[in-house]
Amino acid sequence: MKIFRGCPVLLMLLVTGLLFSGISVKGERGIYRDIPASAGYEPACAPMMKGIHEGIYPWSAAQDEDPEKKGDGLIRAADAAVLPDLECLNAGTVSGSEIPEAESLSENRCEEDGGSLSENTVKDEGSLSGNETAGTESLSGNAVFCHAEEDYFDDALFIGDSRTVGLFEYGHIEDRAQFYAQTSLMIYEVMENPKAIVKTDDERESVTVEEALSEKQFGKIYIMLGLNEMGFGTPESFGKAYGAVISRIRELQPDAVIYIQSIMHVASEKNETDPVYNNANIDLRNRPLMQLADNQNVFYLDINEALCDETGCLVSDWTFDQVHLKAAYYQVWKDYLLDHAVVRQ
Amino acid sequence: MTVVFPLPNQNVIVFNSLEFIFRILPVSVLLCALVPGIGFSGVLLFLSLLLYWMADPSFIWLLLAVWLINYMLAWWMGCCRGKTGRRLFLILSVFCDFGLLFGYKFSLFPFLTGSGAIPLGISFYIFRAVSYTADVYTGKIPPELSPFKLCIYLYMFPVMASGPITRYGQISGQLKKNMAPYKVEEGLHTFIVGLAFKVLLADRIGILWHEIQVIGFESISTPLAWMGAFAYTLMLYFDFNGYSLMAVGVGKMLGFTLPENFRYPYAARSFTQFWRRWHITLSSWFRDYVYIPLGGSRKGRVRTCLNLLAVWLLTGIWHGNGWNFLLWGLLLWLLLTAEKLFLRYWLEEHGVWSRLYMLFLIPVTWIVFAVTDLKELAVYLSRMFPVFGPTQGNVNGADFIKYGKMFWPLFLFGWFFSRPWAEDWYKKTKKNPLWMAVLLAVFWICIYNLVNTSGNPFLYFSF
Repeated sequence: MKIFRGCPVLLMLLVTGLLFSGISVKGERGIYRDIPASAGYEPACAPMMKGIHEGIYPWSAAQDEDPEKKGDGLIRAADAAVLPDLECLNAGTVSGSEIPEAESLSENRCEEDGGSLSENTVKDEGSLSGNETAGTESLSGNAVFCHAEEDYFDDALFIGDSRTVGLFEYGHIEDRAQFYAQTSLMIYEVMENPKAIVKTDDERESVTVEEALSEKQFGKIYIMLGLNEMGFGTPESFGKAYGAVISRIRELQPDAVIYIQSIMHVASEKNETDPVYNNANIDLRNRPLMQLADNQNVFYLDINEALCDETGCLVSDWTFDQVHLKAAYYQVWKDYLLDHAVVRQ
Repeated sequence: MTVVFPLPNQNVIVFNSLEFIFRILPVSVLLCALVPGIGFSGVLLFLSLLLYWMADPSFIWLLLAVWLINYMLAWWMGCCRGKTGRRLFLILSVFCDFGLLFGYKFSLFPFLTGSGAIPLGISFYIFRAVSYTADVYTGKIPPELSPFKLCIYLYMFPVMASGPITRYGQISGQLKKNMAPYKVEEGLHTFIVGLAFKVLLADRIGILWHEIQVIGFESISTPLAWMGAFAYTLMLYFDFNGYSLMAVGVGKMLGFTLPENFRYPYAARSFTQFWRRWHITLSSWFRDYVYIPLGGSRKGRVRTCLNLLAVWLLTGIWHGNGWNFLLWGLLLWLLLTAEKLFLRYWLEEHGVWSRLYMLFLIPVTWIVFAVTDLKELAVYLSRMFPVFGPTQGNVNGADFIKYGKMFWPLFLFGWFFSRPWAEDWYKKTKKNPLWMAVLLAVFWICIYNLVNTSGNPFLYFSF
């Protein structure tokens, strides 16, 4: 022990390190059981550190002993959002026969390899959007896509993650439309997350989208969410959660036109290297979104038509980080939305 | 039981990786401490080569080649009586060393590299090797007869990836076991400060620089362009200085005293001073092995300027193989020559002006260093100085307010820690146990950050 007298920090590091590791090991099956391990190496104390990040403190152990209540907030929220609205979702928008079709499509997708995949993706989307257009004409004779001027956004609300934050900052429509957008916002929490920004008429406030939608009626609601969710759940559970949110928005805003924007693709470099955030996975999750469209009140907009090159990847020159558009190219997205406006007669 | 190392894994030599902090560092210190005196060097050498091999197994043969070439040539040089022979061996070794360095840097050996990857730390160990043979040539040091000592000097893992660039004279006397608990403690303090510079300052200020690239240079407002330049300036300093401090700390834990690499360069009042305080071991290398052999400032003004030009073009090339690095070297050459010829006296007399001069020119030189694409560089400079060109992009005039609100505390901390105040305070009140608590807390905050970002600040998994 004598040698440690001159090494207070080293000694304290060893003690605290053992303590934190002990807490982590003890909580492994308890409070930290839903904390995922990283792919690479991490020290024994990592679960405690990650727990604090998620709001689970070592001392929250006692009160959270009930296994029903504790765990990963996100997944819980997802389940909660999915379950109650499942029936109305099935009854309302997705017909029973469509679900197996979606599954078979995704199976095909998984079997195909890189090269043929992108071609097929484009083809599939082509045929599907063809169906969609046909559907538009047959289902609702009173709604077609046409070009609109910027004042179309005067009664619009945009909901989304950091990409929509970009549209807010660089779309030059922040004075017209309102935005409920926040970096890393997910469909699972979109209704109740109080941190998100709604830019109301002249000030920025932090309210939940539920409150915002209850207070004011909008003419159009644009949603783009789904990239952050890719680490969580399956395309099916994602589609269900998305459907539940759409149903809730429909309840609160019965007269609004709801636009589901396809999840924007990533650029080729990320597409080729990222095992999770790649375009094949994005398309798997866009598919259930297409099926949420009823082409009367809810419409699906495939914005990748406008933002991607011939290989289906986000145009490389338009992005630095492979995910977000550079400021100069938000105009392209905005123009696409203006060219795909539903005008009700 | 078999031990499987995931190969190759660069994290093993990145000081701010969890692997290094929790596995490599404690294991190395413990091993070196347990092995008795005579085996210490062997363990250190084995660990260092193992780490090179784990990080990138394909270039181990290169390490052996550089080591043998320099060992043999310096030895023969020592045996030579005549000046011509010594010079011949010097030229031969410099030719081999720089041949390898240039070959890999500019991918001249596609048949050897395949992927075009640059061998880990090559710029650093080649520079260590050249300084060794040059010092033997000038008679500063005798040739090392023990090949193992030379090998440890070239490849000891604390200085493996990013220096400091040690000299053989600094290390040769220390190549025996000289560890002590108080040294481990002292080294740990330095290591924690370096880690905090890297993780809590550099990586976070770096987010602003990243954001600016996401927006695209053409679409940033002029205030944001300046903010970005300052962010890069601070990021580079805390990144590199943090890394150097960690290296010094690791060296200390193993019983070595490594040279300091930064002495508050942003407190300098001229570029001449700045480059005596920034990456000291590199600038002194160029001074001792390029500038002074070329005649330094002893051969008249014109020759001095040309010597400086050679130094700065080489410094530019050393930093990377883009045209912008040459441009950066030229820019610094211009500034330093101007200072040498007339500006210096004026700067010395005008305290406020010299500070303003540095405050505005340092970020400009770093932007030239940072932006490797010349077209993009022109765009960035035109955003910093809008008189040079009209706006091409889609500028949100209020962007700097958003980022100012987000980053002002980091700028404040960055400014504070790039001056010697904190260190002076620490030195005066070293005995205060509060410092121990602060260091401990800072360490765990760093670990908290590393665990939750997987060590990559840009990798949030959130968009």
